[in-house]
Amino acid sequence: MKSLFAIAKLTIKAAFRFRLVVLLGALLLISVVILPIMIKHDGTAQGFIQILLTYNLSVITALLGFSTLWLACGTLARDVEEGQIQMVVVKPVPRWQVWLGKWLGIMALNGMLLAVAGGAVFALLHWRADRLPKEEQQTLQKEVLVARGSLKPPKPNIKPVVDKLYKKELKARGEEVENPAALRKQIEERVKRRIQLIPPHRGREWSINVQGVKEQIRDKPLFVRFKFQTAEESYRPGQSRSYPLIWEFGPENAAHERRKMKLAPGSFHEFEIPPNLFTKEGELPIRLENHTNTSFLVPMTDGIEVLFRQGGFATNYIRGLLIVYCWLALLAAIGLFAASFLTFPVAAFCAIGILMLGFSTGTMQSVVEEQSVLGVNHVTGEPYSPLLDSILIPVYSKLLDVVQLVRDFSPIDSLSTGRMISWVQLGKAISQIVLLIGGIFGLLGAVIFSFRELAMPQS
Amino acid sequence: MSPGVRKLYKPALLLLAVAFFFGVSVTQSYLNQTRKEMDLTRLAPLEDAPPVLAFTTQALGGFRGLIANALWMRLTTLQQEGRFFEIVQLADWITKLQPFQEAIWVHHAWNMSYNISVKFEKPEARWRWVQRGIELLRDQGLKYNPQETLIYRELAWHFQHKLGDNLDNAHWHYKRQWANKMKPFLDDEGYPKYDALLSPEGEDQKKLAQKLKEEYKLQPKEMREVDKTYGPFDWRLPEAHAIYWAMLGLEDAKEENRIRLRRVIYQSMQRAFQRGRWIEVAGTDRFDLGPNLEIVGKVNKAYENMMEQQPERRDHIAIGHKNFLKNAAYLLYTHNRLKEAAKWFADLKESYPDEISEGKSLSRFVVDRATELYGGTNRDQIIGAIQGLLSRSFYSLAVGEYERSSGYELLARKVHKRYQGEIGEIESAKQRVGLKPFKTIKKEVLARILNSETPRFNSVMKQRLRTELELPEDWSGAGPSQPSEESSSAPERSTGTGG
Repeated sequence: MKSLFAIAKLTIKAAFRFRLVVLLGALLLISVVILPIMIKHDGTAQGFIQILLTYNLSVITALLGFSTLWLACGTLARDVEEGQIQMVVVKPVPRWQVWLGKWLGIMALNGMLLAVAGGAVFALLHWRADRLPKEEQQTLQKEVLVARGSLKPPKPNIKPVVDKLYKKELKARGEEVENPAALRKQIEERVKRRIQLIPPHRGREWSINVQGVKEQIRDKPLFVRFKFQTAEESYRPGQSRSYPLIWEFGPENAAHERRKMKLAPGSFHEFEIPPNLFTKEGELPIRLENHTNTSFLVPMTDGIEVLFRQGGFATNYIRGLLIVYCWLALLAAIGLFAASFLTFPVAAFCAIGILMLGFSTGTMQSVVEEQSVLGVNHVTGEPYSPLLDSILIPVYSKLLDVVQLVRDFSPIDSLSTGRMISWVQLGKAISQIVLLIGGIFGLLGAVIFSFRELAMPQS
Repeated sequence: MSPGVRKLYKPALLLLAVAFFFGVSVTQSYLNQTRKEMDLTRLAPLEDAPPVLAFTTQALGGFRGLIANALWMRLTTLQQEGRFFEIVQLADWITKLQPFQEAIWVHHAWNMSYNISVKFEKPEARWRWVQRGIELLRDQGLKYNPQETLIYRELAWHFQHKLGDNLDNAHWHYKRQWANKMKPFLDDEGYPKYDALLSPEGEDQKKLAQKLKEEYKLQPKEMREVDKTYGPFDWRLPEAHAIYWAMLGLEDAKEENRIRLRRVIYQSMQRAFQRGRWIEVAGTDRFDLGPNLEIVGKVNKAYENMMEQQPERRDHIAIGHKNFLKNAAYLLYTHNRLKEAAKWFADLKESYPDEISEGKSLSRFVVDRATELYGGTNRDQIIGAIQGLLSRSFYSLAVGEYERSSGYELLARKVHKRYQGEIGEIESAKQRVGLKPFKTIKKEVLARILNSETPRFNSVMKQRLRTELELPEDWSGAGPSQPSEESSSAPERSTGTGG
């Protein structure tokens, strides 16, 4: 253990010696100070704090991420290239400890820098927020500088209905169905549409189960986040069309609130509702009436949700930073893994390549969704490259699963929108990003490094 | 390397770098000149650009487009998710990365002013986004593209359509906010304080003139030119600003693009004629808009010019011109400017003889138009029309629009007289479908106004009406103290007799 920490210490010392820490620290602090002056926002205090948080944390993550990759590749590859590693490995220290010691050293540096930069951002946010008028401060405390939990209506189980309709349709068509999967998909969409649609002069009711957080939300206002679409919207770009919506929150036979609002479709709206409108059984009924002549569509997935204060901003912020720290841990592992068997420039190139792969999941996602790499002939319905598809789609699919384990977290988005980052999420991030994916890179790197010939004649 | 050489090594490198920079700057000037001579660049090299833009333009080279694409995709995603707080910054970056693509400036300004603003329910939130759109075009777009007609046109359109028109639910709020911004530079009538702005004296005036130029990019000299050529305008209202930006754009516009700017000018002039005067409503934060009759001659000229400049659309424009002349005669009449009304009515008859039947008088024409606008031809509709005109007359009196008040009353009287005249002298017909005496209807309307509370006639407005009519506090329409024919309008009212 002593030797492990000694190597970590040496890594830190080297970073200080090359003035990397000072340089990075200065860069991070400059970005924290300069960004608020440079950025343009929507003109609201809330928008300013949100953009400040987003851009500062993004810059910190990017700067630390690239320096971590660079340092991880450099610290091991250069030691090997310059022969200094030979001074270490001749001592009774297992190679895996050398590898792990370097990783620990980098992570200690990252921890220090992240704490300084994160602390500076936190202090800046509060300094700015404290100078705002009382009313704006309250809005900030309610909507941004807070950790809000989310409750959604239960997702309806459409499978039995789809199965029933599908069987009925098959029976009616007999042998004529060419593409049963497409038919099933069609039926599924039809059922979904029926659930999502609120026809003209009709209403819709959702019930949100708040049983689990009943005591937490008692006497506290809640926020409804809502989005809807209309059939007319697409034909009226840029037109100021708002639709009257009549809401009712709470049980009909007890205290409830009725509210008329005019809202524009196609965008999220967030508004406060009074506290304690839920029933004894912990259900919060929400009714929406459509008194217009057009149909509304409320998406099943994110059409309506109720937000409530679940915790304070400070701890949420720390959890967010810890997730960023998990990403840095993975980057350090990737850099060290590449440097375990490659020279510095090749290792850096390789590590950046892996990183790019992680960033380009959008393309892979669309390939998997469309089930074709080069597309489908719209006349025949046949894919252009069945061979390529048969190989690449499973590969992309698996790769996506792996990358998703890392990308499944969005701490910066959550912090800037005042969403809760739970301990469970943090635990998941540690296990998925650091232990699983980072562990694989670490294990491979340590094994390769253990078997690498380090005393090869150097040119 | 000997210690002496080592000591000189770094300063020598520094000197070399300075020499190279100097060399580059000389070569660059030469290259720029050559590029200009050989017509290799569409636009002059970027000058006076902020360091960030100069750096990104030079350093990123061809990658700028890729980065702009990535930013554009992020903007679209965020917009779809309803997360608007980053949009201003992203639009700023995207436009700065491709500063000479005028369509990009126009797109992003439009996106903020038209697409994003309407996603908000509150007028204040909408106004913020409309402002961002205007600022993007005015403060940034025109800075880098001072000759781009499209940007001038778009900026003018923002004023003409987004602020000036009534298609957006929040248009009253926009107008009020813009008027508040303009207030320090204008007198009580909404005309620019040209003396103070053109030759400022003292620190305050200098600051004011500087603010107008730097914050709103308005040049007093050009504003005066706008007033001289097309106005005078009330600069609290957006139409004046639409004309200002369109006129500036005309200076460098190519011939084929000029028509787009001219259209903005002509359309804004028509609007300014119809509702280009700001009227404060006492006791509320509301305001009303009245016609700007001072520009009637210039608007007429604008129509004539348009017909001349666009012969292919002559018939179409002529319909607009005909309606304008009808409106001019009517509005001037209702503002008790009878001589001018007669002049434009004569013009209407001369230019479009088929439009007015032979021998029809101005008075008859205006009464017909009023009954058409306010009601119809049967007894109830006529009563409604008279009451509506009288209500307008009292409202105009309360807001200090004396000419208009007299004009409406005169018109109400004419409608009454004509209807009674049409019934004839048969007593049974008079009893069956006749009207009460004009005086009685007027008293009833006034009593109804003073005895009820409406947003239009709030307590302050009613008080002003009482003062103007010299009525006692307790007058309710029931007692003997009635508004006399003479005291129904302001003292300086001169009830017209012509027409």
